[in-house]
Amino acid sequence: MIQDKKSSNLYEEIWGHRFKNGQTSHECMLEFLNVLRGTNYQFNSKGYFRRKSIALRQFVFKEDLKNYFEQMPSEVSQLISKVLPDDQNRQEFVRDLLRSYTIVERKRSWYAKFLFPIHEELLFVELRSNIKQERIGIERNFFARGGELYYLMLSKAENDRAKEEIGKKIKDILTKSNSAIGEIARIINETAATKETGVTYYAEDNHLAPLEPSDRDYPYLPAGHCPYYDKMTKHVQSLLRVNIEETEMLYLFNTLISLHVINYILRRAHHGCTQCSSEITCTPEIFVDCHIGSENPEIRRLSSKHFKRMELRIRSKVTQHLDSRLQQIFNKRFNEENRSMMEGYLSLGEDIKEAFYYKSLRKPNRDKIDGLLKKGQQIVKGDKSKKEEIMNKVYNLIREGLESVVLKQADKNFIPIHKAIAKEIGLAGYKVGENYRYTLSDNVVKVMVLSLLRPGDKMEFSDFVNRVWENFGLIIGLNEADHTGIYKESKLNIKYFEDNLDQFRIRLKNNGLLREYSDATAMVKNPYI
Amino acid sequence: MNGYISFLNKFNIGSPDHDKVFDEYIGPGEIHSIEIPTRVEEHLKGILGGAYTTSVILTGNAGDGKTRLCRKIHNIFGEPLLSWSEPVVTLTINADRNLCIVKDLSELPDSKIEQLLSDLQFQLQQEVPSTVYLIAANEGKLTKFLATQEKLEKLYVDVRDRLEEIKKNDDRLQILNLNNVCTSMYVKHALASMLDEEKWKSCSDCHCTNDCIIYFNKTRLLDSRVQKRLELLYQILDYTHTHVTIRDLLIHLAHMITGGLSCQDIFDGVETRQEELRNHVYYENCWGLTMTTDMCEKVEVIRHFKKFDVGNYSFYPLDDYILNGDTADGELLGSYHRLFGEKNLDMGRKRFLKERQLYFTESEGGEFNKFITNWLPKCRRKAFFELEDKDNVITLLPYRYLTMFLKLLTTKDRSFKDVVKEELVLALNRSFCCLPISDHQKLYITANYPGPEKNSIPVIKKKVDLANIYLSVQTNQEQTTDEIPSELKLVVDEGDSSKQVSIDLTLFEYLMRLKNGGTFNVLAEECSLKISSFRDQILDAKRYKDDEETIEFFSFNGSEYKIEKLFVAEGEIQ
Repeated sequence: MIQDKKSSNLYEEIWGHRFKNGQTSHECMLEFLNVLRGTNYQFNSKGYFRRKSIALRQFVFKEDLKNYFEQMPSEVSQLISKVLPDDQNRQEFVRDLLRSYTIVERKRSWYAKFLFPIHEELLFVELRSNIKQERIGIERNFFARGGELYYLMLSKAENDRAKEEIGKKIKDILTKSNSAIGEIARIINETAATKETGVTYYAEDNHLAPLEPSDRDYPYLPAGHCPYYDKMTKHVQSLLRVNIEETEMLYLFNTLISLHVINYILRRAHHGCTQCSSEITCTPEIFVDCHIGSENPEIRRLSSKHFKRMELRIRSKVTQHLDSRLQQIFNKRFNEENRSMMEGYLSLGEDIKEAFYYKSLRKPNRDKIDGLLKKGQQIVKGDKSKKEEIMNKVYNLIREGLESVVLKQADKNFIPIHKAIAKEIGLAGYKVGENYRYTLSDNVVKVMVLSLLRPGDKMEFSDFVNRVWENFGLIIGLNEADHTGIYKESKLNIKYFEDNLDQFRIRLKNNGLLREYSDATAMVKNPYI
Repeated sequence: MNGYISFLNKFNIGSPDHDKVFDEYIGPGEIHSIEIPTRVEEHLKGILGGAYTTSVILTGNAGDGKTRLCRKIHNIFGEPLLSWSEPVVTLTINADRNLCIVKDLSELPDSKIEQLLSDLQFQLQQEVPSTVYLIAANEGKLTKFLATQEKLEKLYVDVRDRLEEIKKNDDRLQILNLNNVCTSMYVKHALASMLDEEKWKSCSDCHCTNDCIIYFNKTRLLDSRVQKRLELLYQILDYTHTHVTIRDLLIHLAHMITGGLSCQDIFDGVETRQEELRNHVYYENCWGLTMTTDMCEKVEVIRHFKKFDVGNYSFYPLDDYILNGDTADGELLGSYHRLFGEKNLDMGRKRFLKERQLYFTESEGGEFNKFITNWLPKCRRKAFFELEDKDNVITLLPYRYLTMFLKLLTTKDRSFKDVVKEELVLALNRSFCCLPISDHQKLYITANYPGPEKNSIPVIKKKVDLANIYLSVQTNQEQTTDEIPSELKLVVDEGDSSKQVSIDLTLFEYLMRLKNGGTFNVLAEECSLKISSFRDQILDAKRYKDDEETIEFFSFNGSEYKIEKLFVAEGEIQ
């Protein structure tokens, strides 16, 4: 366990820091690409160079050109004017061209807007909102979440050759095409009044730690190797080998990252996940409703049920962790030799405060914990029952109080990630009046085929369905439902599962990813070369 | 009673005697068998009757005629088959040659399959084979089996290459894929066989003939115009690469003739239930209107036809006549009178006219809607088959550009092809960048990111001159199976390499609609993969190196999309 970090959330010990709700899947990919570019497309780097690209952003994102020239200090406008075309119309072209790559959907100010990275020059990090200062600082809000963690995950994989290939391929995508647009962006950036230095993050062990020791917020993953990291690299490697246009590739990559993140969250949430004995058991049970348009309320309901169940799994993992931590502390302190119970209890109090990040919590939560400890103290002092009974009473009291604190944090900051990301890539959705359920979008279907099959390769349909479950946790047909016990539990007729599988097959076919033969064989293929 | 009608009814999928459609169960004495001459049969007879060195594998769907062909070949070299008692039959052709016929590879146990295929592989490597094979197999199982057997690697490569048209058939091994067959070519023959006068002799003695809807169907289906229209429907399947087997064809035609009715049904209902019997007229049967939804799903042809049921589409003059009366002009009016007048059994003789009169005179009330729903779709279907002028009724099909497509497949007019080529180029330009640009001087391969403010600016990555683009008809060189030209191909010639996209009816429809101002979503799902693959092929990202100094893009100037350029050099943007 790492000390000295700015975290205050127990759940981060399970999943890593800094996993926080509120980042869109696009931002996650942008963050990752920024990190990768900043490490010069190498994994396992100790730090990464972060680009501010202030000149470019101010030029592109200000309301309009007139506004821009008015607001900028004269040295800047002069420099910019020198490199731009003389004609105002053509200046507009330059701006419009770059502006057409804007990503972020919501209304934000220019320092939190981003461009789609058709070239690496269009990559930059988030800036601080308080720009009244002379120096515009780097903000670590939206860009300090999933992307850095994804980088760490891939770095932790053991397949070095794959990682090298991935780095190289991504570099190709971001540099070989659209070099003219990249050049334009670079020229504008060069006009910045102050030379860009960026700030490099240095690393300690596996993490990217800050250069300035005062800022203790750096990303980390829980210790230990997870075999899923290796699978992830295989998928990415396979996807990047496909020969398609870079915009489409980046979209697909975005979907793949999100799929991986969801799988990571759910695998870690499995109660049996303890630095891994057998990977099969932690595979999530994402029962997908593959129907669009046609009605199948039974499958919809089953899918909703599993959506909820996966959410509950995440939640109960948090409480499981809480329980094990608390029991550890209690067992230690309540059974110490040569100490009175009260002394043991006071030390226990200190242990609890430390284990649950008391110092970093907000006042209401701190007060709550104080209250609990005081009540516990009264029980220990006053109660005349046996030691075990007192221990139980105190344990239950403290546990209940802590659970609400910890779960509230998780509910607010972490648990919604699963739903939000799934919805964004089309893996989840809901019908008005019903609950969320797992669905399937064409993007997800495509990504799965391209990451599991090499270009030109074929695989039999039922094989593919099985691989889909092993690699992405999606359950679609009877086989996998039976294997995981879902079929028995659902008490549904086999036909429902067969229909669901049929729909999946039709989806693959409509996307040109499957060929049917008359004798009930169907082959899934990666149609790209 | 006509025994032939009960025979035809056995084609009905729901019937317990459905086995008549499977060759395995037809004995030699079968008086009602249906004969359809096919090119593949001729070709087979040719190769197998020659030097006897060629082995043949027949692949295709269940119902394409593989087992029937095996039987025919068998009957040439051996005793006429009583039944398929043995799945593998070896015949002696001459002193040093055997012919081994396997009527269905897929139903044999794996060990037997391995043995046969090993021998085949062995024979193929001999100078002069001692045994030649005729194997009927399903494509999927065959390739899957071969792919998993290491010892059959060589055979696997031979088979796969031929199936993917990388290698041509030669005189050692031929793979005839019946999946490519255009079933529309068999419509006329099948009908001729089914409507042969000999088989309908007993109807001349029947007292119900004038009121019999089955006999009516039979008479109408003999008309060459009706046959041609039916052929057109099947051709649409061919043009959209929807393969239906000969068995599917026979099932559908049998249903068109009888509608599932038997002679007894006619006898029983001719007085009392005439209205219900009338519903089994051939053009209603064509779209399975008297079948349940489940049954419709099972009859392949009906399942596909339902996607373009002419009863749901409007041809104004016809609708006008049905709903408003005799307002059409001379010639057309005469046709309508003929079609919908009182001499027609399927119109209930005077029933239609009477009900229409009621509909005219009723100011409001329930009859209003019922008349339209009862008669309008029916009349449209009837008109599709029986109205003289084909150009009129083609509008009843949802393919707006079908006529143009048909013309392109057959015309020799170069200038017409050039005009269409330009239109297709414009359509592709629009499809690539998802914007209604109007430039068709060249083919512009664009890439664009559709931003959230919908102000996307498509950047032009590559341009191809019209002179390097060719539009032609895709032909099959080998001519071993019955195929009609059913696809166009657009070829982009880049000097050292050429890339092409094959355009079937669906893609053609998508492009032409787009070119003429349609929205981007129509048929987009079916066609988007083909379009983006074509684009990626031309771009060839692997070899493609961007121009570092110029950017060309389409920009909207208030009234149209124009091409603008930006130049980047020496740290300046021009």
